[in-house]
Amino acid sequence: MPPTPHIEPLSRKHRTVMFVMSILLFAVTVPLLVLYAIGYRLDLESDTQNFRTVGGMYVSTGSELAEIYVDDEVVEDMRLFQQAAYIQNITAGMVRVHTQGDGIETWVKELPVYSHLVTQAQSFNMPSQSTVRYVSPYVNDAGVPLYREARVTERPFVQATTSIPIIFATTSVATLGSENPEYTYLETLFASTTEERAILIERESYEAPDFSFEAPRVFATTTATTTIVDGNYTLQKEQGEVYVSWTGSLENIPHYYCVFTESYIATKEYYGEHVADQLFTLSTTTATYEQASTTVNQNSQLCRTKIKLDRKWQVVIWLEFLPGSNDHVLLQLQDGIYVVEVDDRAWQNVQQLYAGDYLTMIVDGEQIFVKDGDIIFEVLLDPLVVSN
Amino acid sequence: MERTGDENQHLLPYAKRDDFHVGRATDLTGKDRRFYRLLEILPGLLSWLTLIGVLAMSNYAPFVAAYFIIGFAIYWVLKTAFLSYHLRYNWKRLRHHMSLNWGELIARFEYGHLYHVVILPFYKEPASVVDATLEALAKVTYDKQALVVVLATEERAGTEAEATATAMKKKWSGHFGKFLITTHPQDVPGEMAGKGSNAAYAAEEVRTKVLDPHGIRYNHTLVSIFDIDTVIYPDYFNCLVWHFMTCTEPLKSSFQPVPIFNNNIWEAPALARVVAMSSTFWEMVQQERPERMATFSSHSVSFQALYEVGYWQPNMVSEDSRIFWNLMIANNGNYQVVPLSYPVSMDANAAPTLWGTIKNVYRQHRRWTYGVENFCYVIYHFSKNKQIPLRNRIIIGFQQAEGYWSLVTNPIMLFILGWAPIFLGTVEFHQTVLSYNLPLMVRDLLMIAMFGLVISSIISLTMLPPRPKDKSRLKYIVLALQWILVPVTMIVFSAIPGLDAQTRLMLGKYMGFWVTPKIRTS
Repeated sequence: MPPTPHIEPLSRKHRTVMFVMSILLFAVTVPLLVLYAIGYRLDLESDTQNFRTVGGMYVSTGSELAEIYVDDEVVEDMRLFQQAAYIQNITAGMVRVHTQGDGIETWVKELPVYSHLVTQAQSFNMPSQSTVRYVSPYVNDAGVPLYREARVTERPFVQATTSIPIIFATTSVATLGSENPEYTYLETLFASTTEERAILIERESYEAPDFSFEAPRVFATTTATTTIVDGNYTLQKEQGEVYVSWTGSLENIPHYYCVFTESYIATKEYYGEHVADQLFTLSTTTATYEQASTTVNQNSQLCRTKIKLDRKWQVVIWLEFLPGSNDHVLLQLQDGIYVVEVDDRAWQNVQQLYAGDYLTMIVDGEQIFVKDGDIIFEVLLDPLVVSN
Repeated sequence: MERTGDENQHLLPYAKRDDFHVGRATDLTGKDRRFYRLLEILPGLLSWLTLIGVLAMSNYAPFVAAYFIIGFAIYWVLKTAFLSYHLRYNWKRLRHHMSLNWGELIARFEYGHLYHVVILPFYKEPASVVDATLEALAKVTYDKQALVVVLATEERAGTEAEATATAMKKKWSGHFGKFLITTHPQDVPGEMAGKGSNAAYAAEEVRTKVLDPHGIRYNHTLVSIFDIDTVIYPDYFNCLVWHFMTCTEPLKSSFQPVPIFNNNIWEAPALARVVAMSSTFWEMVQQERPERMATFSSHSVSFQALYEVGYWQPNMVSEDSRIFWNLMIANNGNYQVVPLSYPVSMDANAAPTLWGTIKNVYRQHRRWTYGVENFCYVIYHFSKNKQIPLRNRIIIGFQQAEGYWSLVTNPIMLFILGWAPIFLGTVEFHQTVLSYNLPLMVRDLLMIAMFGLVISSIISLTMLPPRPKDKSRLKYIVLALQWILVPVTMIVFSAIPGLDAQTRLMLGKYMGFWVTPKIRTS
């Protein structure tokens, strides 16, 4: 047995050395990590520059099926539950980002990335094949919709996938099931909208083809104005065109209303001529581009408060915000129902939700219902996932 | 002003001051009262200003806030590594000390003249708890005839507690040199009902009824004050004597064992276990840097030293650490804590239900963190006692302030406010790479800091008492993984009760002594 414990307490000297080392480590680490956080990277490959600056991109998708690609490289590090990705270390310049997946439309955009800044983008991916839920006048005891096959020569929804099974009956469906209260409710809803829309739309105006480059025709609708207000967003059909305006505080203006550029040329190059033309006007006195009177400087960016939507050269029959999003608009055009993104940087992505003419569309809460002839159905925003 | 009566002649000169045992600002008058009140306000004010400041900075200067948070997260990682090193080292030393035969080590000393007074402040704890404590005392490898055991009861505890004390005396008095039951009278003017007043009363009773009648010298008497749930290890007194005999100034030293809250660790819920072990680990870290130590919970000190300062303060909550400050200040800074790196076992704070445990742990930690009242006391007397070297006063004052400030603010800043610039920052900030990198960086740094928890987890498993037969081996896995609760426990049972205690002191809503209930199922 030794006369004393042979493990001595930590000596003051030992602790002081550790403490000083910690301080030195702190002094070295803090500036390095701060520089890293604000977008500086050590460039060991370059002979001229030791540091390079980088920016980032934040892409969110509305679909669980979508994968994000930046310059055609898939992004692996998706944020859990958010269907979004923050892509770091992007050298400043134009970046092509697209989202795609099985059973969904592809969304594509080209956007500029700046050093130290993050470019935001919000993709959307509608089902590549329309997905519907048939709402029949009659359902059986299990709630399955009944459809009398003999009434038409073709079964309905040949272009679409139905989310629930339908029983096709050759006899009167009234004897096989009971009345569907949902159908009754929707019929009433459609009946109440018919008269209102009749004022706005003259049927012949959208039966005629509309892709000639002749002088624009004047439709009955062009004199009418439809305005839908949802929070700080105003959706407006005016002179045949559709606009989405931001009416809230400029401090909170959505990112796609604003650009980081300061000149007409740069804006045109990075975001498209249509954006540049909105933000700048050619001065008649100086023959140079100046900020338009409607352009506002906000959050170190140039912003507009009104964006025109792409209507694919067609007449807009009806319009509504996409349920759950004010960044997207449902447009009923002559050949079907479309979802258009408000973000017009580079271009606007337009995806068809349901093809067809003579449709009537209404949005009831979070659901989109369509009446095609006397068939009523709900159009779903997610593709049907078929399990094997 | 000094207390000059004959009854105070034994006190050290500085301890004779009227304000030596000041408990709160209202005990003083005039300028001193205003100064003390300012000191009571200061910790809470600093903590609140820090937390509000981080929020305001996140809102108005998010870039600065982000840089600060990155720096703070790095500081936290380094601090964790620094403290983990101390913890691991002390763990090694603790295990070594437990493996030693201290009886043989002290054989070379002449220590037969030493007596040990063991004061066990007792309120209404169950007889089983007191019994286990006395049983452990009876099993020590030291000469038990040199032990004077004092069961210090409270008059306000009633007849049931009195009966328990009597039963314990009947059962155990034959094992020790002396067994004394003292009954601290209730409602004594100027006293707060609590451990300090009870222990002070018991010490004086021992002096008049045991030490003086038997001619036992105060400087030959070591007092060990143990919480009633303290189960000591057989070599405790041998280890204590070794340190008493070998330290530079034994009469100017307090001796601090490592409190391991593991008596009921197998029964306690995970939250209580993590909190209890965290407290143990903090004390282990402190054992390796004794210059920052104050006495905590169960500890030992010479009777002489206690007598010279008038025993424990009877008018405040944190008597266990206050007695160290009393001694340090009265001895003009010439006083130290000697770490024993030897354990005593105590109860983890657990109630029959989880919610009851949460409430009890919160209350206990609020009481512990109310130790911030010592900051006022220390700074007040540092301003009065110029005999203490200025350098010591500055260093200790800073350490105390930093300790109480960081206790409250650091966990909240790290785990909650670290994300504030992201939620409160301006749009310009949100457009930057910095805004997106901040949460990722803080998360990664915290993950690195969490490696310290792996060390904690391993060490905690080695400090467990034997597994009861009714507990599955799988429980070890739970005991290892429970450390992921640390971010929660740091906020809920450290930062928030600390802020609560500081706010109460700041507002002059002084706390009383809350007795932690002791419940054991086995």
